[in-house]
Amino acid sequence: MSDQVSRRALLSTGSRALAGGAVLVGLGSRLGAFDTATSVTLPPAHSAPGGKDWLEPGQPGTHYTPVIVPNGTTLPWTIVDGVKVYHLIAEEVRGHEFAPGLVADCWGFNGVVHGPVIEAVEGDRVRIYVTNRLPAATTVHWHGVLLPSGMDGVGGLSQKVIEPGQTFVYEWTFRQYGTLMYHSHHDEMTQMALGMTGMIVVHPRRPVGPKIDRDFALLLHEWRINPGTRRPDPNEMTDFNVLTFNARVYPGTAPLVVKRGERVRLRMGNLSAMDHHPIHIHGHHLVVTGTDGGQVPPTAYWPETSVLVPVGSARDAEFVADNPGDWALHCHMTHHVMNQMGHGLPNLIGIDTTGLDERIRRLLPGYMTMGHTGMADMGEMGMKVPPNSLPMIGAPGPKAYITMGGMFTIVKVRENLTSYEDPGWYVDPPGTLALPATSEQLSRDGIRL
Amino acid sequence: MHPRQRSPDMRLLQGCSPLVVIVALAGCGSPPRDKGFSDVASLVQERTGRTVHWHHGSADDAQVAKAVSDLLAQPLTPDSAIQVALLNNPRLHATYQELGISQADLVQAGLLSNPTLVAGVKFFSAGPVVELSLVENLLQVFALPARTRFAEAQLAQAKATVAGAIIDLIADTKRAAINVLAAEQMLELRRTVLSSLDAAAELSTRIHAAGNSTALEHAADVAAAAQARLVVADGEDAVLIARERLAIAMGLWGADATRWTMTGRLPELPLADGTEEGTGMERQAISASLDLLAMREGARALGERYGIERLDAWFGGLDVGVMGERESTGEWGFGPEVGLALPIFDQGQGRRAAASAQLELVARLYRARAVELRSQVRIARAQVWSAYARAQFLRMVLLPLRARIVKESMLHYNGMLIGPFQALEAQRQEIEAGGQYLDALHRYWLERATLEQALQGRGTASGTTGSNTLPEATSEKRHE
Repeated sequence: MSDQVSRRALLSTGSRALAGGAVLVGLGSRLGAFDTATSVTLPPAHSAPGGKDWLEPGQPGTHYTPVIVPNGTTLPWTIVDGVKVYHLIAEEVRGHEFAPGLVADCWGFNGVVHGPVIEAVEGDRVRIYVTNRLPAATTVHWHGVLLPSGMDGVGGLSQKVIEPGQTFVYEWTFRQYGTLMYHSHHDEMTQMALGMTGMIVVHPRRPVGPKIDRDFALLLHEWRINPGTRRPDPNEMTDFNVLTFNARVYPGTAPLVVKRGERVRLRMGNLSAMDHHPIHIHGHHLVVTGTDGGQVPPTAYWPETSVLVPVGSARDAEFVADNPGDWALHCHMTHHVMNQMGHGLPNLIGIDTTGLDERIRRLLPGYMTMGHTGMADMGEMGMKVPPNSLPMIGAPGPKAYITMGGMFTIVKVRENLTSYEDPGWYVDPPGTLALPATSEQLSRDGIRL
Repeated sequence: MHPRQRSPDMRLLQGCSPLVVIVALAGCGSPPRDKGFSDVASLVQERTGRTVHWHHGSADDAQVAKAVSDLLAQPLTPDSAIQVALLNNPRLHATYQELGISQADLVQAGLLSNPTLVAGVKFFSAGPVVELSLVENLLQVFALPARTRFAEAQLAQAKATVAGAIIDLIADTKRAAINVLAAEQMLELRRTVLSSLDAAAELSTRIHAAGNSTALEHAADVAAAAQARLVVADGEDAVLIARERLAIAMGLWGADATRWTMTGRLPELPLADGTEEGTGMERQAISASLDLLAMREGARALGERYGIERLDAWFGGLDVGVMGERESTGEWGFGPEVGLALPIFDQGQGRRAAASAQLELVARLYRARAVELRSQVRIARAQVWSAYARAQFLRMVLLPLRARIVKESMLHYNGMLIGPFQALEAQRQEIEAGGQYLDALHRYWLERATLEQALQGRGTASGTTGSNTLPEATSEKRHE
């Protein structure tokens, strides 16, 4: 097992090891029955009152490279007496844009949907103030976090609910690293459906495993927003019509820009109400390296082209971006890559449409039969649709219209990048682009049409 | 005037000269035949603004026939239909003859009854005895003015009746024309609904032919269109019946009865509902009422009758005359003759009491009718308001909402959020709402015609149409 241990990191944490002569534990995990992997040995939990069970607050650059949140933000923190202090404000977020043309009034944190990513380092003591500016009581549960029972955030069980106007304070020491999540745990059906979710990224105190060059956090979610309305319907159980990466739908999802040869990690959390999502990548293969339950031993890395992220789980999947180009990254459920379609339509595939339009236009001016050859033309037809809606809209692509929406984004792998801004569309080297067959090719290869 | 005889009979005749003068004056001429109708025409003119004529003689008839066929050659309007009806309705023209009858009665009332001449011969051996007597009932001479006034009153009643029949025909024809317009518009609406269901059925057939739907789904869609065909057939029946009713009002015969057309639509709701005069309407209805006019004339006639009865009781049997006799000797003797019924037993108490009771009855009936009339006007006015408000609400609130539903449905259809069947359904519901508006508009114009009829002096017993010129027309119920 090759591992890269930063000498500086080793020394710095080592010098701060607490009394007891902590031994720096190597990599990999010693997965006992109830242990989770740690990159260092932490001070025992529940030490004597007044005693510290945490390490010095981890710093970006020193301990970690900050995670990249496409279309999102990270929650800022301050240090007070060696404790990382965060402030989450649960509030209504009006006018959240899913993509240009679809805007809704949701619930979120700190003015954004989803809430900002909470970033910390294994061994950090964190103190999170949660102010409730919602019209309803709420709590925050820290999904996958090992902490004292009273901090767990289950309304009524762990704590009294946070009434509107109140501010509660949560505090614990991170005794793990990995991709975790946070979400409301009071009236979850309503509050999560309106957007009260976010991710937590806890970096190891010491580097573990191959160096990750580009570390992305994507929170998967599903919504029901009836076209023409501007509020998600939390009562929907089965027929979701807006599927999001970080609360955005294509063409509103920001591309993941990567230099050729970089090692990329995708941290994918799924807080959808009812649907698992198989997230599929093109041009590369993924290996699953971790979950919200901990780290997968390298010998157990499982290869996939689509990583299934169940409801209430997170998956870390890594790949090396060795294939330049524009690569689709999307949920492979076909209905999850469409925006707001209707499901009560009659099946018109293959019908004879001769004379139908003229006949019906006498009753409904502007009528046009649609759907008899599928739905691909919808996006380019430019017909008048209900305001604030994106029925089956995609976006123009470099070669033609891309008829995708929902949980769809693009990984852009480029040879030479000077910055990680959107580099535009990939230019295919000659001989690597599928084109209509010429008659020479057809005759040379004996293809008869 | 000189007696022609030059004999001792001249004395007879000179004695009779006052009698002769009376005879001469009483029997002189007759009122012009059409004088009564011009009164009728002015009664109608004051109340409706329309002029009517009574045509007689073949020259007039030919003119009327030409006028009618000219009107029928063009598509009719409610107004031109009324013109045809006034020229051509046979029942109405039959009614005009009542005037002739009453006028003849007037003439008759002005005539003295003929004197009676009795002559007898008795043959005696000495020679024949001749008895002559010429007697005239004198009561009816004194009663002549009263009898004349009685007949005039009855003529005035007849005029009121005829004027009433004319106004009724105008209103009935107007209502019949409105019903034709409404029935035709409603049929058009039902045809549009059918074409929408037909289009949906056609689409369903194509979907089924492509293997995309079940036979059950397909059958349901086709059945809906089939059902609508029945509704259209009902609408066609309604048009036929409405047209026939108008044809009857216009008195059309043979090919004319079915060849005419009426195009155009029910007039739109006016800006004001037509009941602006408020309580002035009740006053107008009372003063224009032909029923009350007829009753007043009837009371006048009764009054004259009462006078005649009184006169009759005292002077019923007053005969005056001349008698002459030729003796067998050849000598003639002449002298006056008077006969007098002595009112000893019968002073006409019964007849006078009856006449007086009748007068009282008529007075009470008059008041009862006036009370009814005012109520009818109030009902008619309220019906007009209510129909107007309903039509107004449908036009300004409900129809725009349905239009908006269609517009929004098309936005959803364009986004493939609903299918074509739902879009067509939304449009059908807009048409149905249009049908409701049409019904309300139809009712408004009918109620308005009834109110106008009441203000023109022909308030009817139950606030609905009632006349003997047309069978009753009601607005058809819409079938679903």
